[in-house]
Amino acid sequence: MRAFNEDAVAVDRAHGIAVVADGMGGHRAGDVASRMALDIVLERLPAKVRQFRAGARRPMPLQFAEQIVSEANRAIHAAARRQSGCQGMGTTLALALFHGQHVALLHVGDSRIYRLRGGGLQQLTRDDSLLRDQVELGLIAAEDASASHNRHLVTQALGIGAHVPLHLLEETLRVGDVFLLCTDGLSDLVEEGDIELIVDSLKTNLSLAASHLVQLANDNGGYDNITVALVRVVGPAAERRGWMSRLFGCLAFWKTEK
Amino acid sequence: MAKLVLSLNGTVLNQRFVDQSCLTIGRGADNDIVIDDPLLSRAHARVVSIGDDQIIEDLQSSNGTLVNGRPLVRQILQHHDIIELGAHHLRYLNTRAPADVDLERTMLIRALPRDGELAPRAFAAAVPAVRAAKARLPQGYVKVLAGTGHHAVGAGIRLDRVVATFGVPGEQLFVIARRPQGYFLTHVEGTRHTRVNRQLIGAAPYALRNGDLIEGGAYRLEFRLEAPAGQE
Repeated sequence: MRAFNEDAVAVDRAHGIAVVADGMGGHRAGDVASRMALDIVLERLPAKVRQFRAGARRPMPLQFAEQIVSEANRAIHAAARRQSGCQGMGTTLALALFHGQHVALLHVGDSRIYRLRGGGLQQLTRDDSLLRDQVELGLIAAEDASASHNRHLVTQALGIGAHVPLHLLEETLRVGDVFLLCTDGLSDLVEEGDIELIVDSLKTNLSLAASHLVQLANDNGGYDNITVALVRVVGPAAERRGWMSRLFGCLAFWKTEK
Repeated sequence: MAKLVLSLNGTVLNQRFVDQSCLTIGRGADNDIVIDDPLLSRAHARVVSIGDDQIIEDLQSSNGTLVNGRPLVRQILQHHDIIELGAHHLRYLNTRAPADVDLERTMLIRALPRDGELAPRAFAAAVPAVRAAKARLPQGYVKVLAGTGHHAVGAGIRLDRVVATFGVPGEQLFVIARRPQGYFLTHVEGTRHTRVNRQLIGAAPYALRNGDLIEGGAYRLEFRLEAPAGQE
């Protein structure tokens, strides 16, 4: 039983930022790592977003988001080396930065980003996890993955080295798209078909969609912290200034009591 | 650490800790686990360790390898699995219960070596969720008493997925969630609030009871916990 929560989630609606993180490392160190990642992102990203909206052509959002997440990585890595009790701490991260008609997506570890478009759910990220490696290298069949004990083993995380490779992706938005960011507490326990059904059915009430997702993961035997953030693209593509105000962001947060 | 216990006709002959990343099994003297059984091939099978998994692989042996009575090519071993090799049995023991693993969630491990970068492929290879045990739940239905929309009056709708919504998204909608504890109704959106037995329900999920009358999303529905007679 763990009385504290290692997951973290934040949505900054004004700046079009959604982020989830899942810390690792005992004695609250994982909590420290995920909190640091979120604090640094939320502290430094908005200023860059404002510069970009004010007309700065460079750097582009994917670039400055990458810089800031890399800074978070170095800060966590340095803290892990400096502070006793924090050795080996790290955190997964999934970040979506909405700008204009695009979204910049960054992730590391096994937190995921999905997109619902036209009723179909697609995973846009590829887990940095041993299990994914095993499946992709053909060492086990995808349908046998449920028998694996490796579900919790990630191969990359922020804070584990001075340089950690980040996955970067830029997608064009369409009106009606719903983006789901989640930790493995959700994706390990809720089948994609059920995630798709819930997000599609309840996309007009995102907090209800989030609570139904978390509840289902819990009903399915939720053992980890379950964190989700949902963002729906509401308005038609307009000029840059008007666009962000038409994005609707919502998040739900849940902590296991088991 | 996981361990393999070799036995013949119920008599334990030997045991071996899984202390290296690959353990070979066969009749040949160069195997890590040598089993003198005429039904075995010289190089018969191997146990490969990846992370917290031990995977048994048959090396295209003449007589095959069974785990718990089933032939295999490659399989992730589970605590107490019995690997059948000719007349011999290897029992796989791993006292690390799944609960122990869950306590130390999310840990770091070195990635598997890859020969160059994999060709980018569709995301279909995503690791699926653990399949939830299908509990035997009482089956819920709703019967459409009145209203217009996707469902016709008189229709019986089986509530067999995790959620079912009724109404028009963006206008007037409610949801019924199927949970181990039963069925729960929640108002999703719309100015006309959803009612049960002519009473407004609050923001919290409402636990439905057999015979409840639901009004919402331009429908009047009756909730039933068992199959109505004459319907599937």
